[in-house]
Amino acid sequence: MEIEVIKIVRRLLRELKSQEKVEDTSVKTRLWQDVLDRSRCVRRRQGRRNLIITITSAAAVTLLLFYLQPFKDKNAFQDIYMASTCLPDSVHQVTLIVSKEEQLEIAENSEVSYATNGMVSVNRANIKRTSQGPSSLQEYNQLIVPKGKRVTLILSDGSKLWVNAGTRVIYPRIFSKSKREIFVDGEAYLEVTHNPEIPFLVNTNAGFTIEVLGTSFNVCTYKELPDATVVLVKGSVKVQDTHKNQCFLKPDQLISISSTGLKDIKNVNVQDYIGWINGIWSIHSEPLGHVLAKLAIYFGVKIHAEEALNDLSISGKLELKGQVSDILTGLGNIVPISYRENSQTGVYEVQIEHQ
Amino acid sequence: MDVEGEYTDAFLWNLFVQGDKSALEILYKRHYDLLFNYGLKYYACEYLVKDCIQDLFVKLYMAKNIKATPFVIAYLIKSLRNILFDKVNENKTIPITDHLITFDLSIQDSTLEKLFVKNDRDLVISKKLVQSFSKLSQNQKQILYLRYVKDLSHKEIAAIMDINEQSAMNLLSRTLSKLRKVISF
Repeated sequence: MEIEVIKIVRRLLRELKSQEKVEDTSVKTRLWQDVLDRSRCVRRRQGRRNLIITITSAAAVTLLLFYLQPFKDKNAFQDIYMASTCLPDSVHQVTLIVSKEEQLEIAENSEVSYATNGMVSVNRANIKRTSQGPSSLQEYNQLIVPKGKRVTLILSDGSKLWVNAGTRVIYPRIFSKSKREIFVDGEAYLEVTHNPEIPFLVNTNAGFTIEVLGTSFNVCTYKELPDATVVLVKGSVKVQDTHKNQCFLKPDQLISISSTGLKDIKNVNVQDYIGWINGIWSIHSEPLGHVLAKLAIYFGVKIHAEEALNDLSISGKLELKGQVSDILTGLGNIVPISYRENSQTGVYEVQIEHQ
Repeated sequence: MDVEGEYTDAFLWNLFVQGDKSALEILYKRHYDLLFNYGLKYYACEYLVKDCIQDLFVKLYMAKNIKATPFVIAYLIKSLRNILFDKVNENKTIPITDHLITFDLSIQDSTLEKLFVKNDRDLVISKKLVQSFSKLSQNQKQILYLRYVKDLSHKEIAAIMDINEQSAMNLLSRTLSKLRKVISF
């Protein structure tokens, strides 16, 4: 009896040991690199805190000045965002706001580029500044892309943004020496120039910020969709919501952010999320309602969809070319839907086809 | 055995305390699996546990005053436990359902059926064992796990559980005799 029991216990222990997880050495090496990267992030933040503490011990006046500095910057984006009357819904062309007096209309699919000295060019042709007003190099510029149009933007540090339809980007003409900070409302794919000394921050109007050192990722905050998303293609990003919850994404991961804060992380095929920059869009079991909402923004049309459509989910590849009507017809071949264009309102009405 | 394997934890820790960060890297790689598995026993979310391990080592990497300790594993495990508890309690993004965070492990009935497919009596005994294991206290479960699955020394176990070595040995023998009673009928 005793010997049998010992055998059983041994077997159980062997089973428990085999259930223990073992990570590969290569995985551990990669994870250790992540520890090093994060340590660098933390050190910079601590450095900043130390500076503030030193200053507080100095004269009260200096304290006030320096203490206000970080807050001033945070509000700058909000101020511009709230004050601007020029919105993706109200303009018909891609609009570049260079200063209070100057607005330029730009052809779609152009490339707006800032040189390291802050000089702006559109499709490599320099823009002459008409007004001679006082211009601070760190003043904010704005790019407004209406629905149905797209544009690429190169910032003064060489970072490149593919700006999707229905999106606003606010950014300084030249970045300061301590940080690179921009604001995105809508959808953009970013390839941030690597610079571990100067973190790159993306503020959004959806209750979260993204901090990176040099990576490629897609951010999408369309109000038409239930959750905002960040998808990391390469490198590492930190996403933080207003409740100070934060998380680090690894390549091929997506995090959704709702109005209450960070939600779950899942592994995805990044091509599904950045395909739009090449006009191809692959979909993996997405609710049809979301797909139509994104199509409406991409093509700059109004699509009215029956609520029941949300119960249908579709998969496949869409080539975002030609007319939206072609795509809706194409969708009708995969899922039982039909559409008609309301000739008076121009709205595409999509409904389920009952056989 | 690789070169790194020749150094004891305490020796490496001492190097790290003196500022050698590569010693920390060796310790990280050496104990990653132990920490990961231990963390999962408390909270079965791989992503969260991994994140806590990263946090722990970032903290260590950045720390200025680390004390020398002969019980490195215990130090790491206890720190991880604290970080994990804090995170689960604070982080609102984690959907906390019914569970308090407690140490737990078990073997599923279906697994037992596969293990003892040839012998019904063994299956009955093993089921009894697993069942009575599940009724043990957290500390009792933990000490069996650390001793027999992780093969840690009594000294290290005592340090992890914040008790002296004699108490650890007493706890262990009491737990074993409790299990023995179940199957002696």
